[in-house]
Amino acid sequence: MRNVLFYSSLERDNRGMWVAVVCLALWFTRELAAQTKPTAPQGDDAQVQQFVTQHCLACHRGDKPKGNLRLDNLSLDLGDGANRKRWQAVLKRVEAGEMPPEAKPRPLKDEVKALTDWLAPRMAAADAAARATQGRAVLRRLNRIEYENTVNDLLGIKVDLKKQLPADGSADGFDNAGAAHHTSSFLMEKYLEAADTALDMAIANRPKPPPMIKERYSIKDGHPVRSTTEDVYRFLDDGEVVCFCSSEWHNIWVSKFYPPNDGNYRFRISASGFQSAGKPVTFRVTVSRTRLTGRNGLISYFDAPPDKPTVFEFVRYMEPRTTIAMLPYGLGHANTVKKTGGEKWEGPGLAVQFVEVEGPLHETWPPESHRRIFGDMPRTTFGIYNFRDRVEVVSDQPLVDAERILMKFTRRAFRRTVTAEDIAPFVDIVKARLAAAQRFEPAMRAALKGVLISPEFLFLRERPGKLDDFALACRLSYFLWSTMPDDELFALAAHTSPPRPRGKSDEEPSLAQRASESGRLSDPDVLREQVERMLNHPKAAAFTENFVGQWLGLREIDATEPSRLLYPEYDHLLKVSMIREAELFFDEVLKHDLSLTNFVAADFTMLNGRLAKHYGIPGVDGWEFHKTPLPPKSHRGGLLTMASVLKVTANGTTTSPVMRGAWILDRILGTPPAPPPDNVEAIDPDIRGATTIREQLAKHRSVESCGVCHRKIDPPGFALESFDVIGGWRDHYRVTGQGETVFVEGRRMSYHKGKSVDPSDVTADGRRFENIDQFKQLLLRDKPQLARALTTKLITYATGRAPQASDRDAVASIVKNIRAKNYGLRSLVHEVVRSEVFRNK
Amino acid sequence: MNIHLRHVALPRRTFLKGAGITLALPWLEVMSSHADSVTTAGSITEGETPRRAVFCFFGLGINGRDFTPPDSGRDYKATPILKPLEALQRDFTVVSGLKLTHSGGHVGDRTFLTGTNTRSPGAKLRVSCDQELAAAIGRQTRFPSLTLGIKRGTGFGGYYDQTLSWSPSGTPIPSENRPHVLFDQLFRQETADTLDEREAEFARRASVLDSLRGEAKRLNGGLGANDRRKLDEYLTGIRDLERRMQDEKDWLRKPKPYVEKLEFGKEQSLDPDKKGLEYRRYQRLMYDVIALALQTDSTRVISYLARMDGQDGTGSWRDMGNPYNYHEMTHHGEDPDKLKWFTQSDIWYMEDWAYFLNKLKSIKEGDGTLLDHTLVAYGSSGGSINAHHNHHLPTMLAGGSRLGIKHQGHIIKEDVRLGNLWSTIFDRMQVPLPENFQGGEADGIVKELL
Repeated sequence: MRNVLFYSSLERDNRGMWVAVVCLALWFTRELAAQTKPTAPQGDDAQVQQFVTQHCLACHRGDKPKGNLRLDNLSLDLGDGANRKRWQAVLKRVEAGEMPPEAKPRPLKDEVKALTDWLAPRMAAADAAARATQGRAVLRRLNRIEYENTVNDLLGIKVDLKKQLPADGSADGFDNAGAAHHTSSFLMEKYLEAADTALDMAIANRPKPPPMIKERYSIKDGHPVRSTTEDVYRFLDDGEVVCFCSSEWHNIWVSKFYPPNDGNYRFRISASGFQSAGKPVTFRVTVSRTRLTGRNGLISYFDAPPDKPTVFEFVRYMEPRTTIAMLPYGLGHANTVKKTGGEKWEGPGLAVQFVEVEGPLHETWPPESHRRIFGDMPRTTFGIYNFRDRVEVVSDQPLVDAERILMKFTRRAFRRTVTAEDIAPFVDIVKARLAAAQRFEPAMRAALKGVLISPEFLFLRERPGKLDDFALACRLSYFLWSTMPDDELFALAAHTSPPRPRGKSDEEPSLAQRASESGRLSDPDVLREQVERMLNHPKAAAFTENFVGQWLGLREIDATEPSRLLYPEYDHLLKVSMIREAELFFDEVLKHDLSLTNFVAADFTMLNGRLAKHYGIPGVDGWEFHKTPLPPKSHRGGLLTMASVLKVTANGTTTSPVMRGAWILDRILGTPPAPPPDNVEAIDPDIRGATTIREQLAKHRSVESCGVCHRKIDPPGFALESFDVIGGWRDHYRVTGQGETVFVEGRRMSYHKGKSVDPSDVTADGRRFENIDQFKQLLLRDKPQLARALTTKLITYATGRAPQASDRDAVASIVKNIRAKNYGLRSLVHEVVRSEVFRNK
Repeated sequence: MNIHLRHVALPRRTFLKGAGITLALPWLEVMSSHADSVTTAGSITEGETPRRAVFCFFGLGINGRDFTPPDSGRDYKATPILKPLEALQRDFTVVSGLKLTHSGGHVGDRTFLTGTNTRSPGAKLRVSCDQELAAAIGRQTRFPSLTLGIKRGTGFGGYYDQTLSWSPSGTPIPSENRPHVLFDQLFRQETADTLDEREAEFARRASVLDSLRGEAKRLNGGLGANDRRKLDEYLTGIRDLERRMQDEKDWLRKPKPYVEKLEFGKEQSLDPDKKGLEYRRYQRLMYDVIALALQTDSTRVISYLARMDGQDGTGSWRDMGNPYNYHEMTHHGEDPDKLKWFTQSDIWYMEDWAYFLNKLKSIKEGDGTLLDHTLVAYGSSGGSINAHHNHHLPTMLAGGSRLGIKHQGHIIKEDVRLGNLWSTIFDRMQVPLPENFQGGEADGIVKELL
């Protein structure tokens, strides 16, 4: 209990500790010079003791230490990782000059240096010693996203397993951190169930593929078109239907398509804009019965061009008894349209000519996933009462086959070479089953299930020291793809030729084949080429989604629902467009090795029509995104002013400079502020508009104990005050109380015009800015710091642990190397992979 | 058309087989309108009355101005929000002034039963006290505990939790939110086929799990101490699962209690994960099933996350014509309209709470009522003064009079930890406090209640 308390208090106020330590060191050297030894504490660590006594203990001692940080009993046993972590924090605060607080006597520079000189090398040595036996990173378990991807790639299936598993804990801001992963009986049970689901999907017990559906449907037979009493549709020839309203309850299901079997289905939707004045009409396609959180449930938005029927085609995995639903965007309200009626309505509409569906799509039978396990082994009928023609794989020499199959399967599942000893426990399962007179296939299923819940499958095996090529392949693959290595990576790790793709035997030998003669994965050139190949692969979308989603907090887009009174314009299209913008922007910077300073300020962004309207930038229409140069005075460009970031840093009703400031310090500058003390109440803005948040915070900052942190936190937050909770520009707050009436496009809004916004402030080091544009320029002055921050995040994500004290040099060297490359993001990824931190456990 | 298909698809033999099973079990009696007796299911003996604990959580706090009585003592004057409970005034105690050190903001749900779990980076996830109770007494009933919530699953990884319960290794335990499904789990009789299949599945799982031990040991070889700890956790997970499977197996062949089927009506609108939730109908049925679970001794420990932090999840505002969601009202910013609705919603929730307590009180048990033998906690992670702070939590303990609770009306325990109330419940459940209880966030019991 003490540990927990102490730890949290440290997090809160390591600043205090730091100052204290620095002070102590300073005092000690001075004292030492002034007097002879006897009064000084004995022993090697006397300097530290002196410093702490002199500069820290006045506040940080006893049962009720300041900031809940107690130093009088903190051990200097640096072999203990927890102690090391605390002293690390103390050093950081003292070095930064944050402690002792300004009002207290400052320690001399020499004192601080003496403290650092004593502590830093000892901590680094202790850290290195721990590392030699432990490695830097902690054993990682596949998180649920990685688990789903890995099982799918291993078996050659596509099934949603993530939702069957509990979510994973996070450490240092990412959910692929070993330290945060725990395993319990509940999780083990879920793994057993998920393995069943996956194997059922992979192994085919049907003699023939499920019956194929190939149909053309009209949405006139869909719900609610066929049943509604509201007159909002126009029915044309050949089943063509024009939809005139965008009200949620007119979300149209393709009800006639309701497949009994799951699988991949190809959809072809023909649609066009109707009476749309030469403009495209955007519509969305979703999976029925799914809650639209984040991007879940959304297949895509599409732009139907005016008057010209166009086919939109996609392939989608469908669960049994589900269908798709369509809803046009931005058309009239049902209650308005129905007054005129669908036949006479002159406003724009979406004409849907037909929806064609074909599937489930199978290239071979039994499917590829089945053959990957059993090859072409014979199958025989073993009917059960409601599945008479059910077939099972049979074997004449079951144990021989079992060993062969398990050897091959386990090698990929364990992501390394395996021996007979490795597969023995699973062969034993088969033996026991066969001995109990069970059939071959059920026995094999049990053994395969055993592999899928075994620790070597669920955990990423890394030995302390330099990673072997298999472990390196895994680290690389989970970093950039969030899944297991593919054949090429395996071949490079195993130092063998990868299987040649069928029908491509005439081609030049692939890189991997050449590598098998000239090098292996750990060869820097090979590694570099692999990173390029992997980043260019579609699977790299997982890197963007998982890294950016957590770095920027985009996964929390639905944490609050904006108040409908204050922000009536917030809708689903805007939400998904926001997320997409941030991801596409990251992709663009990564693809072209653009400078990571673009994340702070850029002269372009990725826009579609909805977002462009939100940002007040003319000339972009429809759902599709375009790289768009930003006009002067757009105030956009860079992550800070993206709607998604502004949305996740606000609650649904109000913005808080504190939240946003802390976000910038943590995510962009890499200097996260200490969490607020427990006994402090959050500031609740007065949304009636009587006082502004600035007036409330001003009081706050004038209190010394608050001001110490808030002088740093608040200014970046104030710079973003010009943006509301959904990332729209504002000169005035929106309030529910008294104020001038607001009209938008001729309609009276449910909110009023409040006080004007003041985004100016002075940074902690005294630099004044008037608005966000000037603030961005201030941020750009310290590019190495921006690079250091992002490097730290990338290393954390790539290795499952944040850089530690002894990684300081490694981080610094990466930053130095990419400086020569104009801080290119792609170069940074290469540097991270090349670094010792990445290549050692 | 569907019906026609069903006839064709069901072979006659299957039908007869099904009918045979139906007749073999006193299942028809359950369906009959005359079956009003309730049999008990736990390991309860004649004359014994079990001790039970229910932890209910209402996220985001309450409008304290209209909740907290201005005066204390047994005859305090009921405030507008407490009005619905007026008739029950001797059956519960409002405990004002309690705090949760690590709560505050929108994220106290995780702290509520664990004392220390927070969402701050590096926070160590730990066991919740309902699970500690379940570990101590859970084997006496078919369900060691029930984990319920307004939303299904754990919500972990998202922004708000959907469960209050955490396993000893700090894994969130998923909650159930559909009263009809919960009823089925508790009372639906399994067919002989299902039981055989379940038993076979247990055996299959056991052998697969068994094979992993050697595997894990071999992996253990080359690992450092930190990594070994992770692997130990894995092995403990396997061991716990085996033990749980054994417990389940022990209960498998014992028949479930027979109770009259509740009238669930349209089930779609009872599922809070779907659109069109009829909140009040859902809420009352949920309380009905909880009462049945306790009455039949199917479990003695329940956690229920009845309203979420952040997004409340109940959608209650819609039914009342309230334009705000619960979260918006708590950030009322002194807006009189919001404050008005805030109180009205709280009264509305409290009416359901009164329904629950009355339900428990209406069930006779021994020489008292079910309520007298159940410790029912009502609490929140958010304070009652303004917005949702971590102090002055709206809290009440109801029931338990026959377990030695002496109700005091309204008591004020300024600056005392919520964990102390949980300690009091452990004391009355006659379960010794586990080590490191609440991560240290408990330092005594609420003596006034004893």
